[in-house]
Formats: sequence, C-alpha cells, structure tokens
Amino acid sequence: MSDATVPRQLELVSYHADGIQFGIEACRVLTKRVIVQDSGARQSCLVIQAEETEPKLLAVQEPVRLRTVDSEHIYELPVLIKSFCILAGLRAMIIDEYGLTFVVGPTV
Amino acid sequence: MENDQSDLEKILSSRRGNASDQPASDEEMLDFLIFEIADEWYAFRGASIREILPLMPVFFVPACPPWLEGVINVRGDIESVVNLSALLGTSRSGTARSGSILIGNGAGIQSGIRIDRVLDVVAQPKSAVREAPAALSPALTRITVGLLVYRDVPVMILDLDRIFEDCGRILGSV
Repeated sequence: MSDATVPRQLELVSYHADGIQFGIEACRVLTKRVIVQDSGARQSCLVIQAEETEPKLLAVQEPVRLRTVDSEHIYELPVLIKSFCILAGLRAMIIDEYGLTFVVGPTV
Repeated sequence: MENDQSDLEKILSSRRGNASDQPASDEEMLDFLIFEIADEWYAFRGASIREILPLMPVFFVPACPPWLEGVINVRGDIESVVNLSALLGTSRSGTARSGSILIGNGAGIQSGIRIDRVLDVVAQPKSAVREAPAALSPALTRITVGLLVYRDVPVMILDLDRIFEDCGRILGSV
C-alpha cells in the first residue's frame, strides 16, 4: 500500500517512452518543447533541471500530461524489483485511471 | 436411531480397516500445492502459499531481469511476479494468456509466482515425501527438497525459502 514517506499529493508531468509511462516531478520540468528534426519529424521534449545542474532535454512520446496524484495511488516498489528499479532511476509507481506510471527522480 | 449409529460405526470401522494406504491417524500430514510448468509437475508446501490467483494483467517493469515478469495489483496491494519457468531455465509451455499466479512467502519476501497450471492441493503423510533425486539440473538441485509421487507422476517439492533467498542474493549483487 501507499508508503507513509511519500507526499500526500504529487504533481508530476507524465510522458511515454518505449511504450512505458513515466512521471517526473513537475517542479523539475521547466517547459515542454517540440523540436523539428532534419527529417521533418516532430519530437516532443521536456526541458528538465535537477538541483544545481544545467537544464537538459528529455525526448519523450505523447501524451504528455500534467497530473496531480493522491498518495493513495502511489505505491512503494515491491522488494524483489526495488534494486533494479532504483538503478534505473525509478522510485515509486502510480496506479490510477491512467494505468501504471513509474515515477522517475530522487525525491519521491 | 441407535441402529443407524451402529451401522455407521461398522461402515467407518470397515473403511478404516480396508484403507491400507491411509496413514496412521497420528502421522503428521503435510499440505502441498501441486502445479505444472512446461509439462513438469512441481509442488510447494501449502503453508508457503497464501493465495492462488487467475492470470491477470502483469505490468512490465523496466530494467528487471527476465525472471522478474513485472507487477500485479492484488486488491490494492502491489506484488512482484517471478516467472518460475525462467528461473528454472525450462522452456515455457504456457502462453501469455494462460496460467495462474501464486502469492507465496519465503525468506521474509512475499511475491507472485507465475506457473502454468494448478493441478491440486493435497494433504500427504510426511512418510510419503521421498528424498530428492541426485540427478537434477543445477537450477533445481538447490531448491528441491524432496519428491512426491502423485497420480504415478514424480513431483519435485520446491522450497520457496530457498527460491526467494536466491532471488535476494541476485538482488544483493545488483
């Protein structure tokens, strides 16, 4: 069930990558941009910034949504998968009307 | 009424006498859950299995090894799912749309375990448990703690504590 250490509400920007839905804390997202590549293809990007680092572009797939998630939908990672997920930068998971979302970032 | 009671006693007594394959009443009975993976039959001790679930959507989790299939939502509790077939190194006979998930406990860990099919839940006398065969695959040697014969088929008894201990050891090396 929801971990007592997670915040009561989490504001995050969710996006897709490789068919999986991820979410990053909204406070780390400066803006969203659409870059037109040489081929003419349009690539959505989030401009993200961690503490005391330079902003960087994160290529994402649509839909990109700003969501507020209640803590009752935020779950701790089960013990068997925790180590692998933490290595991959995944900290928690959300299950709600948007399906499964993996929360990326150090502060959750 | 008295006659009925007497007849019942006779029948029960007769059954007790005829059932030579029945264990002595004071012999310890052990519960086993017998299941199938890739046409092979295995068993877990009943005490280590909390629940049998029908196959449900397993959410893929990135960055995990093949034997960690993903997670499931069991009435609001998130459980990991270990693919026992991948852990044993057997070729899977089931499909992604068939099978069952057991919720098991061992070595202080609780997780789902994907299997092909639950065959039975049986109580067997302790004396029916034989020693594990010497010639087993390396993957099975450490986790097999005995052998049962069920419907004339050998059934390997697997130790969930050792399985989850091994999973924990792999996690520790990550």
